[in-house]
Amino acid sequence: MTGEQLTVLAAVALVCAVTLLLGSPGFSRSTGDFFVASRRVPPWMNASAIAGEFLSAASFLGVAGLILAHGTYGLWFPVGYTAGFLIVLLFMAAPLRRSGAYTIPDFVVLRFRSATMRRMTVIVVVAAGWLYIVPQLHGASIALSATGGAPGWVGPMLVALVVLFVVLTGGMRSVTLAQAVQYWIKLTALLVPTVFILLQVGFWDRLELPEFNGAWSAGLAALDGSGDQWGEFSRSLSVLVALMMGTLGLPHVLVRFYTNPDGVAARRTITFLLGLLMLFYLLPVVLGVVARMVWGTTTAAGALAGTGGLSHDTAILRLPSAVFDGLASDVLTALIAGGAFAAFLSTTSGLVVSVSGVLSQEFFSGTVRGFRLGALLAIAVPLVVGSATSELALAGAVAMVFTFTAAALAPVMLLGVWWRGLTAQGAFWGMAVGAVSSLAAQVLGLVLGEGPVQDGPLQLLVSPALWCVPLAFAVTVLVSRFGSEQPPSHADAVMERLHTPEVAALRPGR
Amino acid sequence: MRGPQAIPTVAEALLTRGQAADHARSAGADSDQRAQAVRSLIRAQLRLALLLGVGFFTAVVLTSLLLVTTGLGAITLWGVPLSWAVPGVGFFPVLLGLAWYYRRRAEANERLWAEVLGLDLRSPAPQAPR
Repeated sequence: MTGEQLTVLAAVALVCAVTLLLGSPGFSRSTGDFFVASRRVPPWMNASAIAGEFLSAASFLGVAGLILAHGTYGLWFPVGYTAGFLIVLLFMAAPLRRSGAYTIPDFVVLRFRSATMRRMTVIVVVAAGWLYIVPQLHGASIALSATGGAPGWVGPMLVALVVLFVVLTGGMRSVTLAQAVQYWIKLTALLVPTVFILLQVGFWDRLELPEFNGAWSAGLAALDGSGDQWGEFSRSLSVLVALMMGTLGLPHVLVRFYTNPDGVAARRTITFLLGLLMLFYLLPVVLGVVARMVWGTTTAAGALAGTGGLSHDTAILRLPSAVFDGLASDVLTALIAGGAFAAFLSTTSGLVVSVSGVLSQEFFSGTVRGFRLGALLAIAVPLVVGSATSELALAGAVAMVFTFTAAALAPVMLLGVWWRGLTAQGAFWGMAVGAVSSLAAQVLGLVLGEGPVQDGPLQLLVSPALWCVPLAFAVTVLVSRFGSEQPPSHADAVMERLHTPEVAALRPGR
Repeated sequence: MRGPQAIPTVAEALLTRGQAADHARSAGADSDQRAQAVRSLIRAQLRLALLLGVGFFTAVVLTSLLLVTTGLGAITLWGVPLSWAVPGVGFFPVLLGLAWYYRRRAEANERLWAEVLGLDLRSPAPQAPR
């Protein structure tokens, strides 16, 4: 075993140990505690927890990989991920908290009182959760095998076991604390290597870097053939739409609003969160650019591709060894691998909590036992699916899930919060059309050409957000407007509850 | 916690028992005026959110169009071309600024609503930062 493998395995073991320690049986025992941490989590903690949960394999490894491979196209992912939370803040944060519902299906029931709608939402939410867990497990697999020398199945199994232990013993309370810590672990795990790598490549000495000009070209010839600007523009736009609209359909993120004390605190949490995300995303962007400097020449990239050593997603794991020798390289690689593992663990546990919450309420009558059963199901299915599917680029796979939630959930959630004229019928058809069109287009796109970057019309299938999100909105509105159903009779009362602040008391004298 | 059939009541969802009683009392006060105030609150919040959300999206699209179609993208700033610097770091401060502005305006809208109905807003959560 090499020194690098030893340090990486030690770092991963440490991250797992910390996660287990934070998740060890705590105080929460009643079902309410179990589900939402009793709604007593302060905003800064909540913001760290959301960031810890949200920054997944795609952000930690994928963004830098995409920047390395496809240039400026990769830069749109951090912007989209962050802007998604602006949309959440503007349209969803306070109303969703005030709705008092815990899951997206709960919200749908509150709004439409329809069992059909509820069942359908459950299916969409669980599908989104499962699809989202797959790339996390895949990330764990490649991270451990690329740097730790472990066989491919070790990473996913390790993640599954740790997550199950934490979720089964602690519920959301311990998960909240664990998630908050994970954000800071992830930030440190990228910040320290970034600083050292920048020092090593001589960034501070000369801010003009003439020999690195190759890094700024649109695509690297060895990795990406297309240099078409318009294609890149529509691609970037589609990603931006998918990520901005998709964030408000992410089950594991929305669950966190219920742990805010009230609507005002929910807004505060999201404002904080934007700052935390910005802080984090500067790092993969910088590392992606440095990776282009290091592997920017055709020969260097070609040599790496020839040895099979460079997949986009392992790029930043390989970066320290390309810049440093010996112990420094081992330690920095271990740091990044440990941080990446924190990302897999935190995102997966957040997803497992929310998927099992939904599953247990829908099928196992909402008991603690049902929650545990749901948790088992929530991780088992992606484990099986993940071992069967081919390897997609991490950020690409996650963007696919965002596209799905953007088309299937965003129209119903947004219109449900803001438009009293929405009917259950309209919501049903909007959700159905959005889910089916976005899934079908992306699966077809995958069959016809793998990878996030394609030419011409095929791009519209690979990243369909630009047309299927507006389509789902249009269907929702048209069916509500011209369908046979009336808006629910309690719509006004629900709107009032969603949009009016929590009130303490009448003012004296009235 | 009950199963999925039950919609959480107001008391379960947001208020303690005492607060719920006050809430119920205030609801009876003047239903016409109340409904009117709620509508205008929702309209004001929606206008604000759409303005900022659509505005940000449009600004991003126009900026990147500018960078693609004109020579602006090639201009370098400390050695970094704008076509990289703007999407890489430029949009983040804008996002933060919008979020901060939105939070202020949205809370102001809510205070105005409370003013109209003569209600006291619950003081912000004790653990709230700063």
